[in-house]
Amino acid sequence: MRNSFFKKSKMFTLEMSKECLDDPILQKGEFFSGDISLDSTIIKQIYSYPTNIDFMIRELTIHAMEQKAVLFYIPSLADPKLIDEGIIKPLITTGNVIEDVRSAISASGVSEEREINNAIKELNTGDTLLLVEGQAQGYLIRTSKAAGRNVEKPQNETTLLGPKESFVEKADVNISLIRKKIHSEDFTVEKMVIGERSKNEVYIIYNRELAGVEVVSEVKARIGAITKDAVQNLSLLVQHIEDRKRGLLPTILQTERPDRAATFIEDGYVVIAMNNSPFALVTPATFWSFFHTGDDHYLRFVYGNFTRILRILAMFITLFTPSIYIAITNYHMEMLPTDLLLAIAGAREMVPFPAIIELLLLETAFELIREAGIRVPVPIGPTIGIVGALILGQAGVEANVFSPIVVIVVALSGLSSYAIGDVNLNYSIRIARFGFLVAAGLFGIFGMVSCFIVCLAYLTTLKSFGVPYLAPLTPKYKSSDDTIFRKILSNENLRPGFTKTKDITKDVIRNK
Amino acid sequence: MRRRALPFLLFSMVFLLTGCWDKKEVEERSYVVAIGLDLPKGVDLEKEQAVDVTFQFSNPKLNVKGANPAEGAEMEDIITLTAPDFVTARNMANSFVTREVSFSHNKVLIISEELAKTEIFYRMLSTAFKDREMRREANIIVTEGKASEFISKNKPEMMVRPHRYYQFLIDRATETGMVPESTINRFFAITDGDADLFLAMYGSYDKNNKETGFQDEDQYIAGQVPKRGGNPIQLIGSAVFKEGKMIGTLTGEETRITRFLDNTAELRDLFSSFQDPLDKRYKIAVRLKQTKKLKVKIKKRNGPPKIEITYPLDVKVLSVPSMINYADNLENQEKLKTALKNKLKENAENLIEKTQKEFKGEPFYWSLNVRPLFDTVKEYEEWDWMNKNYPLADIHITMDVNIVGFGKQLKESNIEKVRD
Repeated sequence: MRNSFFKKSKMFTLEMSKECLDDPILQKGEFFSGDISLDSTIIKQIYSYPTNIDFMIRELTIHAMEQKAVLFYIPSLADPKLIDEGIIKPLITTGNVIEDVRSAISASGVSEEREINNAIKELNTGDTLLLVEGQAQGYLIRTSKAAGRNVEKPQNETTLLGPKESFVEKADVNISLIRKKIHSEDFTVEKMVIGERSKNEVYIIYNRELAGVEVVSEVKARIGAITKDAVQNLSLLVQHIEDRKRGLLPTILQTERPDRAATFIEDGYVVIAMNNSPFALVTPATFWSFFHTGDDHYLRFVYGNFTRILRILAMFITLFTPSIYIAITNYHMEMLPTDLLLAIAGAREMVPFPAIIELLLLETAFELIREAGIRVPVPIGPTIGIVGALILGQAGVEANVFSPIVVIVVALSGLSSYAIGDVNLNYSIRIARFGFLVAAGLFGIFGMVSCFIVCLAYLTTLKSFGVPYLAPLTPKYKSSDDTIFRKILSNENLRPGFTKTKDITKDVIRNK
Repeated sequence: MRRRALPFLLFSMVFLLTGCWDKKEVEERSYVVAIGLDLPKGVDLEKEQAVDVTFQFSNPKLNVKGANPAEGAEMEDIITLTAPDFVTARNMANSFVTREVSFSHNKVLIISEELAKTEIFYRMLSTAFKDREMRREANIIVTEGKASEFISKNKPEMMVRPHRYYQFLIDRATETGMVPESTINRFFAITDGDADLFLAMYGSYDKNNKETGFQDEDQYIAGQVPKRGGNPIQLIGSAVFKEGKMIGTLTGEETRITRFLDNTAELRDLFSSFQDPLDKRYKIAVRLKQTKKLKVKIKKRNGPPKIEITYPLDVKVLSVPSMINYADNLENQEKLKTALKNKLKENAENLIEKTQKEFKGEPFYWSLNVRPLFDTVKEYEEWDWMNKNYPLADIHITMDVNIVGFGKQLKESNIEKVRD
């Protein structure tokens, strides 16, 4: 922003007449002059003060120094209380002679800056710039405090027994949420700036002694390769750095739970955080990391595995129930118990559409209700459920548009899909379901099986940051085999080998 | 983009073209639950192939809201027509049945005794073997009289759905052992093996007093069970098939013994009564169970083979109307055991003798024990178990009877005291 502004103004001046050559910007471009009035004019111009009301200038006289001083800050980003108490009050009220301005200010972070450009950069993040007459430098005081919400309960990844805090939109808060779970000097946060225009900061978080070198450098390389001038948040960043941008399946995990992020860091994964994103990215991600939830390990061994069985069951029910219904009723009716067959036949007697059309209609309706449910304003949210479930289901059956069994099938597969916690995996399974449905409609069980084989083959070709998608199940890696089931905690003594971690054992520290 | 789209289009077209477009929705078919086969009247079978086929359809109308299930349904549900065989009868039926006739849920194949005794029966049934939709686990019921009448006179009181009726009737009857398990698959397995006799369920719809008077609970064949009221259909005993042709019948008791002597059959719930050895007026009710496998040792020798059979049975005493104490008194127990042993052995020996003399073949599937004695199939076939060896074989039975319990209450109440 700043650079281009300068470029433009330079270009501008070339065409300008001689009268304007006195413009202070032209003469004093880069450094503070020590002359307050001159410097203020430059800064005022840069921020189009006073047209721009989101910019404050406070002039004051420091009696102890017998000097004039001026403060600049952006009120919407800076904390006015801190400016009052930490900067203005000590400067004005102190009786002692001030020799060093830094010692006179009681704010925690103060740095000196000679270049106007850099000072502006910090000013833009909410810092306060203090200029003192006669000093050819500015003091940047950390006062930034952007508006944001407090740490709240997780919305999407709820657990029964896990911690109840989730990431917020502030990266430093997020980092502290992770950091407080890992008290180690190896915990590393690296900052990268992307986006030529908006200068978005990306924080790469990993454990120096655990994370694989390849993965860290791959993450950095991919983030560095982004050429967009603005990447606002992680949801957008994901789509720049993921492996198959057109693929059906997610290859980077988004989690809103700091405890999960911390666990992944301790397993040698690399976590990415960013301002304005209430979650963190985990790379590399395997299929299992999407399938697992926090509760799997917080619950006891038996209960944890029980929920895993339920979830994998739910996944297959979501994928296969509609297609199995179509395949069996159209092609393999000898497989049905006779009573069920007659029940279906009797119910379908009055239905005008073929079973496949009937099912597709209702599936689409269900997806519509679901999408509408997300977009609907919260106060009328419950209405959607009632209208959707009651009117569509009940009335559709009453009017003989759908047979009741199809409503059961769709409801079952729809409900089961909610058991898949991860939003991305949820979407991919719901979309894949339609593929199976069409295959079943054309070829029966044979079509479903072929479709499933193709899907499995596709899954094995996927990679996330160089790690096979189904690892450690296939290909086999050294790990604690935390895939469909988990072991008891004392037997989970290996980090997953596919992250190329520097220390694979969890019980004995080997690389220190 | 176009370059990428073209192969994709071609690929999907191939898929669309190979799809099964002849599929039928469930409601576009009529489901046959029972097929009846009869000899046709007025057709000379020597000159022309023909059979009377009866279809009983299941009525899905029961499920339609507002539709009256009873209204006129019965007449339409059962149809009889004369056709070359029962597979082609499916299309003939479409002259008045509007939907495609499906055999995929057929439960039973009901055959009149008359037809079963002809040579054409096996040829007729081989169509069942070839048809893709025909279920091999469908049971064969041989009925005295006409199969079409067996189907139409069947009036199950509690069951609305005919397929349920057949399913439960067959399941329960095979559990109690009164009828054998007689799937089409077993029919072909045994008949093509050409070494054993096949037993089919024997049924009857006839109520008109063929009753032979009171006997023990299982010594009847279908049509003789003394009863009043209820469905005219009875299923007890078995029809004996030799080389694809019916040659005789077995009573319910004989069928039960056959199934005990057959290791491939399973029995669950068999109640039987025996004469009380200490008081001949009363009968002891017992429950029989086979927990161990029957042992069949066949010794080949010059002339007829020698067969040693160990026949294990577990007996649970259920009621002792004579009020004699068997539970505590070991001496009495021993007497009871010996009496049971003798009776069971006698029954089995009588049956074996009957099969040797009358049927000249065994229905116990013992050829499975014979086969390992030979190195090649050719030797085995030349030896000819059914025709040359079994009818003359020297068979010894060793009983292995265990009394495993005396019911919930061990002690009999003291009748003298009650009378007091």
